[in-house]
Amino acid sequence: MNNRTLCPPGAVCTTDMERRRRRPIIGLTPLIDVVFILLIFFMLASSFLDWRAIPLEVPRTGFEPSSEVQGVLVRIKRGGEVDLNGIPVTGGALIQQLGRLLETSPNVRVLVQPQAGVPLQEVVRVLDGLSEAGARHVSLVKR
Amino acid sequence: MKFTLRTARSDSEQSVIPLVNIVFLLLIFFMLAGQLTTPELFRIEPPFSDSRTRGSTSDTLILLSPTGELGVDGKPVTVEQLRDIVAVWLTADPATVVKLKADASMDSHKVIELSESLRDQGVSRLLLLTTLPSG
Repeated sequence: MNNRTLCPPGAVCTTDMERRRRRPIIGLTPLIDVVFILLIFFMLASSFLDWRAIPLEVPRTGFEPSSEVQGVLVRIKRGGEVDLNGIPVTGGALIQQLGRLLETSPNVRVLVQPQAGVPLQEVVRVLDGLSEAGARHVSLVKR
Repeated sequence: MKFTLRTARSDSEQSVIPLVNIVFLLLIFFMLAGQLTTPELFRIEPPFSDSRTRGSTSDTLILLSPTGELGVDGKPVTVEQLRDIVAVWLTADPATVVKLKADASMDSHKVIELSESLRDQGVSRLLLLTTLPSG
């Protein structure tokens, strides 16, 4: 009431109470600015790739196939044809035949030999099949 | 006049609150669901596989670019430098499993050549990093 009486006639005056109500202690706008900056940072810096891995063995030099460690050879040709120990097979047949072999001798070593120029994706597709068949010792070889 | 001015301002603040809520939710989602990554040295599109083994891109990771360049820890390295780095890994832990990130479209023989040179140094296990097919 005292404030009102001090206010000159015609001027726009507010009481302390009104001023406090109008301006909050922490402004919303700076908060939104900071949150937006954080949001943009996390959107750009984070990645959502679900990483998987294919375990490969790299046999030591001088590795000699002994009688108890059997090995099978899977060759991948440039066109995507696959052969198992020299016999051409399809993807499904490879899994079946290898699965049967692995049932009798689970420690069989599978050597995968892609031809030069076979893209890695093609090799990974075959490696997927091998792991589906249950192969545990898989190595990549050049020749 | 004064009264209408004040309601207009408080209205604008009120209407911004749902926006702030959504921005907060998005922020929390990206903070929890995403993994912070450093920008890649090379552009590598990893191969897709259905492998059930989980992989990670943390330590002992070698990048192999489609053109055959090598990278470790976000820095390009030469074959000689890589040999030194792998020797350090192997002295720290002789059973180090080296992770290899290579491009899906590259010649598989480049990967084999690298794995053979790692084998010569004494690395016995290698993890080839892949991603799950999208969709």
